[in-house]
Amino acid sequence: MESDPTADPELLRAHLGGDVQAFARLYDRYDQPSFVFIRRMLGPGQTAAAEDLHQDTWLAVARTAASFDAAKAPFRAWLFTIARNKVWDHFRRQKIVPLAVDPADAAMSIPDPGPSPFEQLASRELGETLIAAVEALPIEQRGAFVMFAQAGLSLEEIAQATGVTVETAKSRLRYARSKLRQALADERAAHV
Amino acid sequence: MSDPNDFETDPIDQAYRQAEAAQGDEAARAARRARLLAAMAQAVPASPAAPVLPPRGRKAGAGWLAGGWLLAAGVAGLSVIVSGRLYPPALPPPRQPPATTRISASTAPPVSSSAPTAAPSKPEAPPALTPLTARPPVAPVAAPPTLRLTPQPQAFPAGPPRAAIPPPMVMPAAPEPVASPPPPPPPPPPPPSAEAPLVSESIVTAERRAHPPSPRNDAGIMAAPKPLDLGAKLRDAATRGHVTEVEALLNQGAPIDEPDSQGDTALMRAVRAGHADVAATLRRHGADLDRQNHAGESARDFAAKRGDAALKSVLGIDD
Repeated sequence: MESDPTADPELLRAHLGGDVQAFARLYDRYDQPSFVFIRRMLGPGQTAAAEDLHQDTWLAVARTAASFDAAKAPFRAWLFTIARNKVWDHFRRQKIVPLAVDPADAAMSIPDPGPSPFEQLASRELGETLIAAVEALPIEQRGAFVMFAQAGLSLEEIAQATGVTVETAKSRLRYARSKLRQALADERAAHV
Repeated sequence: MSDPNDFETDPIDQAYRQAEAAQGDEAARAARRARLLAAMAQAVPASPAAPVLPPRGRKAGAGWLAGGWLLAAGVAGLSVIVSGRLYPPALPPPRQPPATTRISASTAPPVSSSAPTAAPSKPEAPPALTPLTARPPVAPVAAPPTLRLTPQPQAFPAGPPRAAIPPPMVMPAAPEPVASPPPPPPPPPPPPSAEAPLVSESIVTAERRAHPPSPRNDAGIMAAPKPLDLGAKLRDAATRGHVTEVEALLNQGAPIDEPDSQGDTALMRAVRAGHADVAATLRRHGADLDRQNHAGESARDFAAKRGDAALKSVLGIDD
């Protein structure tokens, strides 16, 4: 994703100057992670809506590029802020309210089974199980996990994109991972 | 302060990346890229250096469509005449339908040789050329998806190493796994209830949001209803700028958009008082930015009036 050495803000500036190629390069860097993020936030069976929101997100990037301030946040944090807002707007239009907090969080003490046999994850079934488990995470944990694992955002960037502290972002990520491990362990146990 | 890298070695991340990569669909990705550029040519004012789409593609949506359909009708008529000569009346008629369907599929305004093959590579993608807001009214005419793909090759420069837009005909049999439900009519957004517990756990309807269910005890019996002033407490906390209290009340199920007697919601109050952090928290939990009070004003209006850049930024309001 980062083989192109030109910095994101430079590309964005070039886009403002009318360089279509620059915008294309920027898009190519983040197209996949931003799409996966939106798609997972919407959940299963919403691929078409994810396509729309993804397009809206990038149109917003193109339109509001002048308002981007690299001193405030890195480009990808800005991008995911926009993507996230698009997702919430979509939920609102559809009258869907994702539960922001998992009631089990407070009392959650799932033992960490450790990095067991993830090598075996080559199997498609397990991969699908994992994706389904990601989509079943509470919305904020899901967002934090996808931004971190798929898009490679740092905890600081996730915190910026979601408007929380780094500790909160970290805690969401930790919970998400713990639940995913548990889901995989359950899946494996079911097949043993 | 935490080290942003201290999570990086977790195998579950890698496993997830692999799982997503296995689901990757290059054809869909290329189509997405192409659609975006076509949409940009319409929605974003073209910059001087940008190769611009043919002028009629810009604003003349309806006229362009109409022209396309006229062209389609003309081609269809011609094909009927030609096929009538090629196949005298004695021939069995069943050949006609395929001929017409094929023409109508490929005569969407910009007819191009790549269009017919691009469509099957992404059967489920709806026509996404125009922004969401513009789509519904156009829906009945249902311009085929091929319509969007034509202008893109020149509008969007081929991405650096990626092999431009892969010839869609190479991967006709690789639709997205999730996309399987093709023919059933547009399903209502999320499955409202039961079957899939994982999904239903994460979403509730707006109705339930306005009237949160009473909690149940371990035996599943409805507990005594909570005092119904959670909404009022939420609005008060928002007015005072108490983020943690707001968060706690939301976690207790306070109805986020419940208005007071003036129609003001917690978000409106937070915005009016200039509490950007509270506004951000409410918005993150799904508070409605455009709901209006009795005076017809929304939180968005209040933010615009204040002209507070930080506030607008956390609310995602574009200038």
